[in-house]
Amino acid sequence: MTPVTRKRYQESLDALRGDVVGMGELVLDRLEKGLESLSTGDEALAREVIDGDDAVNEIYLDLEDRCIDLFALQQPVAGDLRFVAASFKIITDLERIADLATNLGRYALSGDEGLEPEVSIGDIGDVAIDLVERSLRAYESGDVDACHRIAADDDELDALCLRASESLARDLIEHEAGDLIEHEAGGDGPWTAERLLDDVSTILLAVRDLERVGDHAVNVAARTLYMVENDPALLY
Amino acid sequence: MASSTRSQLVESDTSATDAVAAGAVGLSAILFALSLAALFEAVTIAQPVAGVSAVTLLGGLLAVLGTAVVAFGVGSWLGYVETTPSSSAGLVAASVAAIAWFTVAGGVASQTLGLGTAGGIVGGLLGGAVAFAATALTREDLGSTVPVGALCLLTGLVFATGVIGPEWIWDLGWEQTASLTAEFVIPVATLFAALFAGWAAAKAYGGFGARGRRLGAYTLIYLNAISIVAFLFILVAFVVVQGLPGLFTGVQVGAGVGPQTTIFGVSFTLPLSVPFVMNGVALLNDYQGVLPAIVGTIWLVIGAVLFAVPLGVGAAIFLTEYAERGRFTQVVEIATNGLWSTPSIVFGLFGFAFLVPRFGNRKSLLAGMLTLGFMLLPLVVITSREAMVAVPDEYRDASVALGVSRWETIKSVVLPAALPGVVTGVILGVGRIAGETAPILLTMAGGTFVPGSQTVDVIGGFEFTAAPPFVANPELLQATSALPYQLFALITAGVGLGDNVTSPEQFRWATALILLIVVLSFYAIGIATRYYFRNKLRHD
Amino acid sequence: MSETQSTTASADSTEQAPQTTTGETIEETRSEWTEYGFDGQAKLTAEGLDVFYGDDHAIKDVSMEIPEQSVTALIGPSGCGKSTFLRCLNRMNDRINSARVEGSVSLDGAEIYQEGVNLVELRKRVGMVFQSPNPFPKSIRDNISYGPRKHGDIETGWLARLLGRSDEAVEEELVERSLKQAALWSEVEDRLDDNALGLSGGQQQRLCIARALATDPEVILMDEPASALDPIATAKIEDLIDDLSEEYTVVIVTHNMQQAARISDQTAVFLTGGQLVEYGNTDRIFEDPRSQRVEDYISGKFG
Repeated sequence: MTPVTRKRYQESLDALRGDVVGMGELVLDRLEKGLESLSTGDEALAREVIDGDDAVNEIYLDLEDRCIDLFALQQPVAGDLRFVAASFKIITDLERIADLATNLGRYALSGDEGLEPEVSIGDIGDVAIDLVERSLRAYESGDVDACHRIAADDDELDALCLRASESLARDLIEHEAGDLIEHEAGGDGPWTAERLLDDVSTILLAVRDLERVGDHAVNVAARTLYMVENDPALLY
Repeated sequence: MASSTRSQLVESDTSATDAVAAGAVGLSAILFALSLAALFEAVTIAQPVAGVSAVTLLGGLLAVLGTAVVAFGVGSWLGYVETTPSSSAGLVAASVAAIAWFTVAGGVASQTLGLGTAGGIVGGLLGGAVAFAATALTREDLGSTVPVGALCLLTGLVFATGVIGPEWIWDLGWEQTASLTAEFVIPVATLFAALFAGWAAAKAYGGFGARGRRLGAYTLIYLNAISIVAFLFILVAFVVVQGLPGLFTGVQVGAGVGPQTTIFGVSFTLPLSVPFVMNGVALLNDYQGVLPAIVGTIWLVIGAVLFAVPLGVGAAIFLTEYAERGRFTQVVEIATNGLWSTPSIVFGLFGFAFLVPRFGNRKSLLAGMLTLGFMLLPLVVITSREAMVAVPDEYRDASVALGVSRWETIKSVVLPAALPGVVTGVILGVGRIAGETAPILLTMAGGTFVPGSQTVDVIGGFEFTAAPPFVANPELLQATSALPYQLFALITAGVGLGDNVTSPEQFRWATALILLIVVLSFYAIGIATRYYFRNKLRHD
Repeated sequence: MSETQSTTASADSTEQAPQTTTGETIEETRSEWTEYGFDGQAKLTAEGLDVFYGDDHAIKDVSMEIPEQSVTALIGPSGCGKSTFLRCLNRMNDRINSARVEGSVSLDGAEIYQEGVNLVELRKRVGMVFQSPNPFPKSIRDNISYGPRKHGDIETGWLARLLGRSDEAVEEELVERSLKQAALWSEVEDRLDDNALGLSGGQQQRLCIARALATDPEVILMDEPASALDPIATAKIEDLIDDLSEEYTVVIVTHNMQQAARISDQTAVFLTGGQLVEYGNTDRIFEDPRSQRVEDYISGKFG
């Protein structure tokens, strides 16, 4: 039921919701591009992602300002208060996701030559991106069930990431370093070993970052649940 | 936690004692009414009522009332009845009881015991002091019932046993042989006894204490209000009853019976003929009437109102809206109040000395109008001023904030809002001036009993003249008659009516009645006007 | 709470900091706190305004500029001069005999406290709405057309009708327009001839606003317009003020700080003694006021 009074206040709330979703979509776009740049090694794309972080930060600060303004000037209570408070926290998570997307871009620039752990980075990334997207939609529409499902699915993502890290470690141990070095086209011994370690740690970091993306998505879902139902169940 | 007296929150059903007390209050009201009736001779004290003479009846009822009151008080004191009395009946009740007993004891001492005036005063003081002490020093349930109830009982016994009977008379022995007759004393004594006993009985009904005093006050107020209304009603009814026969002498109903009238160019004969209202006094009349006087009174009032209202409202506007509160306005207030209290004969003298010489050195309708207008003026100023001051400042603020000038604000906001108050003032004033005889006597009254043909015709009297002011009305300069003057002449001179009037007494009363009717008609017009203006200001 | 002596151009910089009776130092007001820079025109400007009620110095040396087509709120504790200041803007203080005004107030650059000012014109351009709704005891229609009638803009007397110059159509249109602007039209359109006193409090106040709008003002002054109303009526008035600020300059006095926070673009804080202590953007005043006294007042810690 649209309330009849406090039109300007209502418009501010709706605008906030829309802009938070907008920020989320921007972040999603960054994440997708970051993942793609990492999977395909596209350096131009990677640079675009890295440079775009400032824009996200500006939006973050602006939205934060608007939340403060709403608190000070409009005195929201009840559902509106939980909404503004939740949005306030969610934009922080979104900003962190954008930072993580930037990391992926940086990893892409440092180069990877086709190491294939058991699960590809791209697949893990797709799961993470899906979680973020779903959490954003849940925030937009206030879908409580989706929040619970997101939390559950994040466990699977965590398991996925664990397996990926383990398999990479196993690969390292099982296959002799020599095979791997030979696999690298030509080159001196010590230098290629370094490069191998760099690549492995890059992938490990990427996997960890993607797991964190999933955690931030769960935070978004948790705050949404709190916003809609005043239920702190998912806020651990 | 401060302790306060706690009474029952939910009042229990009436018990027998409550019924007795209520009955006592009712009895006192009946006695009150009876005494009023006796006072106005609707019931003569000697005449028998239900086989017993009225005096005895009154006496018996008084005795019963007194006993009931005393019984209630004693019963409460002994604890048979549940009451919540205070520790004392208070100074007011004590004073009342003291004065009542002073009168009775003084009268008894000087007359019955033959002690003369000095003995009367001593006896009175003694009785008063005892009553005062008895009321003030004992607990409330005893103090407020026993002295008053005992008085009532005593009075009742005195009347019932015939000690003071219908032939009783008390020569006061003062110079002009003033005396108090039984026709006066008995009803008055009953009145007061019933009043006091009713007060005590109401207090008893309320169980004494705060609640009792409240009920006692209510009873007193109701009884007094009823008596005022009854008095007014009796007065009016008296005049009506006496005047109707005279008013309707020779009334005829039927076609062609009445006089010819022309309204808007159409002339026809009224089907009703009321000679008293339609005729003057003439030798050839079948029945005499007071038409000229009626018309004279009506024009007087109209003229006075037309003169006084604009001036008065204008003065009130100046005093309220324009003048600053200071010396000047205070002086004006004092002068206005003084004028309003001035006796009407002074106004008459003013008219006689100042106006009459200026209007052809003879009495005239115009001089009468102006004199009465001057009489009306102070009241209009006072009430208009009060009505305008009562208009809230918020309206003026709102109007000024809209950029409206002060005069426009007064015209469109303040005056309309004050209008009901102004009309009230005019109504009150008209009531006073329409009945004033002295000014009319000195400034206007011509012949006392004039034929109908000499009725002043103001409307038809307007004519144009060649010289300024181009409009003249010689009718205004006629010396005419007016109702109060007519009545005065009838009462003092009495004659001049000729043989056509069968009963001069009836004629007088009829004149009084018609004056009352004329004044009430003005009231009705005024009230209707005020009603109209009030509804415009209201929202329902 | 003591402040160090300011070294900027403060008139009292050579004096000791004022002390309270308990010996605490009162914070000194800095002049830059009341300077408010904004884009656009200033509709009303007060300079060095001092108001005395007899011997009582009610407003001390207040200077401020009020931007056009926006909402300016004046807040502060009771008796600190905000209503007095408001009433200076349309010279309503002239009605009080003991009031003396020194200093300058100008509307669109024209000084209003000078000889030869047409008060009627001033009050046409600067309308006012009071704390308690005060509609005239007339019909709704007559209430609204009262101002224009008195100014001669509308003539509907019998003489005008006789001469064929009656402005009844103009009046109807004016009444409808004003009531729509005041968001009251839909509630009263079928009972314009009913007495205005039959409306509820909130409706009466909106009627008063419509009445003020009918004279086609440029500025609307509101003296605590919602303080006599219930929360729902108050919310409607606040929405109305928001709409009005697009076309008119609104100056509103309110003792309800949250209301000022909700609806105003800039806020001026008057504290005891008739002093203007701080004046600036509403969000800055409520999120980061420069004066400690203002911060204490706003957070409810008086004293």
